[in-house]
Amino acid sequence: MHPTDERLEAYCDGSLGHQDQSVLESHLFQCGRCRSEVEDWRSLFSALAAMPALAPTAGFADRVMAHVRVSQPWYARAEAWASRFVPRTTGGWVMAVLLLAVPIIAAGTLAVWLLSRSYLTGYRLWVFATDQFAAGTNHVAQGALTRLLETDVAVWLVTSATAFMETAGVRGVSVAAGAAAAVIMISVWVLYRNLFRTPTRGSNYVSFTF
Amino acid sequence: MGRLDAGPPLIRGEVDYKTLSDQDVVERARHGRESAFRELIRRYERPVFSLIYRLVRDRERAEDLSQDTFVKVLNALDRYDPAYKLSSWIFKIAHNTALDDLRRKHPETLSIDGSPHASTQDETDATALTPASADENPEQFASSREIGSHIERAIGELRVEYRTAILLCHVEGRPYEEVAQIMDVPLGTVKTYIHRARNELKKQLAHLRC
Repeated sequence: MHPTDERLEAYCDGSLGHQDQSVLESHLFQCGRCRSEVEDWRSLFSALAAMPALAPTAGFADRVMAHVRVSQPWYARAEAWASRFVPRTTGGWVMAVLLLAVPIIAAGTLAVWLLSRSYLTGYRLWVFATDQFAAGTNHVAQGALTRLLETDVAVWLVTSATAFMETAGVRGVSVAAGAAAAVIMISVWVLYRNLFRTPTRGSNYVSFTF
Repeated sequence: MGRLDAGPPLIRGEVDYKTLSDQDVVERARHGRESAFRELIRRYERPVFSLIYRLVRDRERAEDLSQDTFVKVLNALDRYDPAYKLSSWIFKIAHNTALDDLRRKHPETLSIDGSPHASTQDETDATALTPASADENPEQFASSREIGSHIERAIGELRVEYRTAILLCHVEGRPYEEVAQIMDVPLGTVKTYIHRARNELKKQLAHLRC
């Protein structure tokens, strides 16, 4: 009795059980017709396995990437920016070490010289440096703030705000403050989406997203 | 850095994507690394293009559809669930993209799947449409240098479902379960498709040998 076509197919497919396989093989040893069927199945499977993988034309990846949104999180962009400064060759590392070593050695030599003076101590140097920094910062900040508040725009804003508060009352001021807070938050969100997202390639215009 | 395998040596800091799994590459792509996107294209451009080309049988359309497939995949990486194989997901999108195009190109009364009123398999087969390339007749298709073998022609004459199943199983080497996932049909249906496709192909190849 001849095996069914499905059985012969399963045999060539390798999905026949071990015992069934042995039985079938002993039949094939004697039956030319079934051997011919098996050869047909094997020819088919060989032809299918030999079918080549076809490739698109050159530049396919570039054409795809032109339509792909590559959005980088802020830390990935920061890392990519910082990695531009990391040396990639041995010579580069030598240069980087020398460039960093020169100011460190100079500052260290100066510090050693200063501390070797008997009238100078580390504490006195620290107090001197912080006092000078604080005085300088205060002077610059006070000067900038004073100049800012003396401008026409600042004067107008203060005058208008005072007049508004006197006429609108507490409720009006609360509503205005809430509206201002909402506008500020929406503005920050729009700026974040548009300044910190990597734009889609191929865009020839600016499109704001929300 | 020296390497025994072919390819230029890595620049310090570069990742060797060949050693990473699909999931790892997807993770790097989600962090905005363009090289990871290109690696995914490099890994799947040939299988995807081969499948789509053999389904639609038109090189230009196949290139466009393959490009659409990758754009959909890469723009939706955030929604990809790593619990599923990446290859299944990509092939599913490729298959659906090709099917949508075939249905658009042949909107007339005949359904690719056969008449919904057919009550037997013979009636279904008689009313099913096997789309052929609008640009090539079978002789031109067969004489093309790139796809010229009898097996390619025979596959081109199969129903779309059978063609998809046989290509995914035999050419791409996907297991039946994955083919069922890609085609979104039960496992038994996939086995039926493959069995019928093999029988048709075997008949065609046997006829050529006569």
